[in-house]
Amino acid sequence: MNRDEFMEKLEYLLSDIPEEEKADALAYYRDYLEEAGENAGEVIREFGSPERIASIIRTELAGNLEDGGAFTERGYEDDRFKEPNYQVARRLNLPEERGENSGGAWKSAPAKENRQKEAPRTSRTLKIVLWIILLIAASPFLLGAGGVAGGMAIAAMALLVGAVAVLGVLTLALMLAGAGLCVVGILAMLRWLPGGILMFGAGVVVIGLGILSLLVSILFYGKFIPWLFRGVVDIVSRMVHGRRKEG
Amino acid sequence: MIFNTGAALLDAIVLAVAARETKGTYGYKITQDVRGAIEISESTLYPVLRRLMKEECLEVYDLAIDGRNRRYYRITEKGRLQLNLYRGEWAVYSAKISRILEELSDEQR
Repeated sequence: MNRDEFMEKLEYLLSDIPEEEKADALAYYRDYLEEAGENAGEVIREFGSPERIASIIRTELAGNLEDGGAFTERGYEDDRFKEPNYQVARRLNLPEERGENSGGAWKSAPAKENRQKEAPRTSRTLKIVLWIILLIAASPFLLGAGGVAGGMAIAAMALLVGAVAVLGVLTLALMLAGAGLCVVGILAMLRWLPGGILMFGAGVVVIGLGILSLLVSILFYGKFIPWLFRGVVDIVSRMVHGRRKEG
Repeated sequence: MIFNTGAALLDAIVLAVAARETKGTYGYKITQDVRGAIEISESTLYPVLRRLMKEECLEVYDLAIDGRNRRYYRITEKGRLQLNLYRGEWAVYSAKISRILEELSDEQR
């Protein structure tokens, strides 16, 4: 629609309003399009249609234009003068606009609910049944493996107990033997001095070994055994916790 | 612009634009100047200018330009008073809004 067509149509649409008002309005819009010059086409597009402009003029004359007009994020607007072909750039980064694009905010909420309901696909009962079946099916292997593991555990225990016992006995034996050698050495000195001194020296050396063994057993009983015990307790408690989580 | 504002602000902007030219200005130019500040459509201003004329804040006169009449809108004494009122209100309002929007939290300070 060019400028003349637009003005002609507008004049026709305003033919029933007072002559003075009509002349005023027509003069304004004719002026406006004249000033717009080469932009006139774009301005007419933004006007929307002669019908829309005519209704704005009429509403203003009726004195109730301000009832419907308002500034919006798209500028000053009046819903009453909106037309299907009157489009302005929309702000697509606004939350409500984005909601509209994805099918409306009210629609997306129930969809989310459905998704949450679907999430626990596998039931707990099914899981337990499957675990039982697996345990039964694997029982021969588990028993074998369990036997081996149990044997190894018992062997390790025995080794540990043995080590505990041996270390203690060794220390005691070394101490006693050393002491004995010293006494025998002192007695032997009376009969044959060099031999007695040799025996006494050997006794001192054996006592030294005994003290060394004592230190080792202090370390062993005081540090290693508690560490081992803590480790075992830790592993057991972790297994128990793990099972609790599964159950 | 994402902030909605009332019709009073549009009146204030139009009066301010008209007050910039002592000999007045015309519809197309007012619209373009106002569009420099807020988003309005090309068809917005005719009713606004009419209303401001009725309220005697603006007066019109025709001037022959390039062999045709161009209608000029000029601010009246009443219009200036109204504009000063708007300016005062706006200074207070915008200062308050700016202060609250630009306020920093304790950690940021």
